[in-house]
This record gives sequence, structure tokens and C-alpha cells, in this order.
Amino acid sequence: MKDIAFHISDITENSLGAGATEISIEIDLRTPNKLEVIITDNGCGMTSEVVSSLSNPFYTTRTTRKVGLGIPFLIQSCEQTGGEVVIESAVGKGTLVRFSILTSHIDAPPKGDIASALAMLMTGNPSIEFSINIHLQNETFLLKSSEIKSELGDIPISFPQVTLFIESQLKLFI
Amino acid sequence: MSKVQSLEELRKMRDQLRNDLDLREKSNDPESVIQIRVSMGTCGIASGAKETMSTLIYELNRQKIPAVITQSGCMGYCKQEPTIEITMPNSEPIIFGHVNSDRANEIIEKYIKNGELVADIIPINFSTPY
Ligand SMILES: Nc1ncnc2c1ncn2[C@@H]1O[C@H](COP(=O)(O)OP(=O)(O)OP(=O)(O)O)[C@@H](O)[C@H]1O
Ligand SMILES: [Mg+2]
Repeated sequence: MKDIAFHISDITENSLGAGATEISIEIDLRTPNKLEVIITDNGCGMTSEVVSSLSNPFYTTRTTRKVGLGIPFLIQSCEQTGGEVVIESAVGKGTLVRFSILTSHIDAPPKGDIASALAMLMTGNPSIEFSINIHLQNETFLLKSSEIKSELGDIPISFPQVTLFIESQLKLFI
Repeated sequence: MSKVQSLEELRKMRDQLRNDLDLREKSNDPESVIQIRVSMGTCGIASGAKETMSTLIYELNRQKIPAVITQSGCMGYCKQEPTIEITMPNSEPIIFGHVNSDRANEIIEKYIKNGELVADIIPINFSTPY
């Protein structure tokens, strides 16, 4: 269940919860046997004290449950492969979460359906400006909410047809 | 840098959507389209909310049922995940708990298409999140 698609959705969920209006998701596949993801948002950010307590599940600002699991799960998934999680944040500015997974490691989580997760994030959060970058060896694929929306005109981005289209485009790369 | 290769295709889709669903008028009145929100907190995603959302997207597209599907943060019903909220045109929103892919299909057939609230799908009262 805790595949890479799960972590991408879940970390992006934190950005949404932090009130971000712009979220960038970069997936870097340029290094063989390594998958690196960088999620950047312009949400409320965190103090350095908060950032350093993030590996502790008992740090959470959520009110419906006493533990926050997202980041501890991510750290586990990455570190068990020899990868890492780096979090940089500034209050009032935003947050950057960069994580890497060594995909050839025996404990590497499966990729999961990353294309579908990204398409659902973009079309499922129509008021957020997403920028999705996939870096491959020889090219970079870039997809922005604003471009899709301007093509669609008055048709909402959250129609199932649009999600399936975006997913099919992403599938060509990831 | 390669962009969406087929923006052309996207435009075609837009025009077809307009025709199919007569959306030019309908999009002026968002009330006329079914609105579905899927709860995507950590517990939601961990219990399969992405698969649920994906099933809804696939089926509603296949059956050409006009709907917009969005994500919401954790709705607070961690024990009933995956949780979805459906607002039929001109109706009050209803929240369904434990919606895996099978139940999503059942909800489309029974609630969305026929307005039935089946026995094993219990609408969760707004005021009692746990
Ligand atoms: N992008 C972000 N911007 C601002 N604050 C963040 C961000 N990511 C995480 N946080 C803070 O770190 C806390 C811990 O995050 P984590 O994902 O581990 O748990 P959670 O989101 O609280 O709960 P869960 O992920 O289990 O639903 C959050 O409650 C939030 O206060
Ligand atoms: Mg979280």
C-alpha cells in the first residue's frame, strides 16, 4: 500500500493542508536505479523547530487524530532503501520536501500508479496551480494546471474525461 | 522541453464535452452537474481512496454521467475511510463511508442513477464525525 504514488499524494496533501495555492511536483528519473521527488509549495511553512520534530509521529497539527503519520512513513520508505528525506521550510513562504528512493534496493517500495495519482491531484484540486515536471534522461516533460485550464475554457478541469486524458499523457513518461 | 504533445486532442475533447453534455449552458449552473468529493487524508489514501477515485472517474466517464470529481482533505472520518461526499443536483450533500471500488460502483448504480440509499451504504450524519 505504501508505494511511491501513495507518498506523492500524501506529501502533496500536507501542502494542500498548509493552504498552498501553488504546488510543484518534480520527478527526477535521470539517475539510474534512483527516483527522486521534489514537492514544493507556497503554503504556511514551518519553523525550524517544527521541521526538526517531523520524524516524530507525535508531532502533528491535525486535530482529528493525535499522531501524524505521513512524514514518518515517508522517512521509513526512503531510508530503508538507502535514500533520504530532506525538508526545508520557512514560515509564511512555503515548504520543500525532497525524497529519494533507491529503486533497485530489495526493500524499495513499488512505484504504484504515479500517473494516475498526479492526474487526480491536478484535476481533483481545481483551484490549485500545479506544475508537474518529469525529468527523463534526455527530456523533461512539463504539465501545468494553467495550460490545461486555458485549453479547456469553460469546461471544468475536474471532469473525469480530463483526468483520464492527463493520466494518459503522463503514462507516456512515468 | 516537451509539453503535452496533444493539446490538440485536449481541444477536441473540450468541444466534444460541450456537445455531449450541452455544457455551455450547464457550466453556468454548477448545480446541474453531480459533484463528488473524495477524502484524501493520509488515512483515506492508505485505505484506498485513490483506487476509489479512480473507479469513479473511470465509470462516470464510461457511462457518460456528467460529474465533477474533486479531492478534499481529511473529512475527519478516519475510521470510515475511504469516504466520499456526493451532491446530486439541487440536493443536500450525503457522505458515504467505507467506499472501496465495489461500493463506488454500487453507489453509482443505486444512488447516482436511481436515487436509492442501499442498506449497507450508510450515509454518515454530518454532526457525528466519529
Ligand atoms: N508542506 C507543509 N507545510 C506546512 N506544514 C507541514 C507541511 N508538511 C507537514 N507539515 C506539518 O507537519 C505535521 C506532520 O505531518 P505528517 O504528514 O507527518 O502528519 P499529518 O499530516 O499531521 O497527519 P497524517 O499525514 O497522518 O494525516 C503536520 O501536521 C503539519 O503541521
Ligand atoms: Mg500528512
